[in-house]
Amino acid sequence: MAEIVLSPTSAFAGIPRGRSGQTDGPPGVIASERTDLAMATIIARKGQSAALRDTVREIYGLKLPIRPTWVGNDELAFLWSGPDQWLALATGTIGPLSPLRERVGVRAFASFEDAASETTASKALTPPFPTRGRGSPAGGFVDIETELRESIGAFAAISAQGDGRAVLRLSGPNVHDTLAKGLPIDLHESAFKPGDVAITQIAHIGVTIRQIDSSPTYEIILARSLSLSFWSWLVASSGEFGLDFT
Amino acid sequence: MRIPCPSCGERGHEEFAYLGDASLVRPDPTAPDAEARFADYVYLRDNPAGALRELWYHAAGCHAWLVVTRDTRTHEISGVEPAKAAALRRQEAG
Repeated sequence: MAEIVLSPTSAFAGIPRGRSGQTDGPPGVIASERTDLAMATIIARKGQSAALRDTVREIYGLKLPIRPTWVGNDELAFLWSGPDQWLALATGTIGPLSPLRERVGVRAFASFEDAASETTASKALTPPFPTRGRGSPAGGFVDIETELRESIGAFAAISAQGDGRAVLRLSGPNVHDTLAKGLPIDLHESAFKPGDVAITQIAHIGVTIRQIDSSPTYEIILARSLSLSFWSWLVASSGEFGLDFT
Repeated sequence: MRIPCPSCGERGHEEFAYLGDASLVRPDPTAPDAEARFADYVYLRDNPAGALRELWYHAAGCHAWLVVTRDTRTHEISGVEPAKAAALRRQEAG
């Protein structure tokens, strides 16, 4: 019997690259899939939100946002994801254990007990917490789940999301015109800026959208099981402008 | 109708799921008159023509429960707060 080999496949892997819709002139919308991301949700434990934010600031040098914005860079970003909730995005093929903390030159807690003993706010904690989850996706992405559990697991519940989400980056002169056909929020520069995040829906599909730059470039994060439905909406809505999938 | 979510900003009501009266408190099941109290809790509702505090869930947004004060005649919303804040306040008040 032949050996079955399962290999990771990105959400939009089956979509042909290239131009669709109107083909005259330059494309109105440029889409690309981000396949280089590891993702995890962070939900503050009860009463630990302030300690969590302090610890993230100390370890990663980033302030977890308390309103719908994101902080960070290509290597590590935290997106607001609801009250006391965040989505961590990390890149790099340095897994399975990420030396993120070594690279930013910070102290790592030796254990959850150490982390807990450093703050009086965490007396209610009952370590040990699980330190290993499903690990990184095959292919050696940053194991963001284990990384975060080790660094901030005393203050937050961490769960890996990389296998379950799809991420598209959208730009181009008609990106606003296209998104306006499905997105119920205002993307005008006076209402939504680089660094902003919104959780909402497009064509009944739940999405998180963040603005990367003022060109403008956006990133849409959605459940990968709905990626083809989203693609169908995107192709139809960008058709009059021309879509280039790179 | 648009609901000003304290976290996300103003959003269309289609992003929210409706539960109902926010003033209901689950009765003590060990009380001697628990059966009658539960009947009231489960079935009996006032139907005010005017301001009503009600629970809405921001299902397609930040996933927070909100207490929305809405005029049932006009849909005018005069106040929104996270249900967590309202619950903590009630807890503190005993």
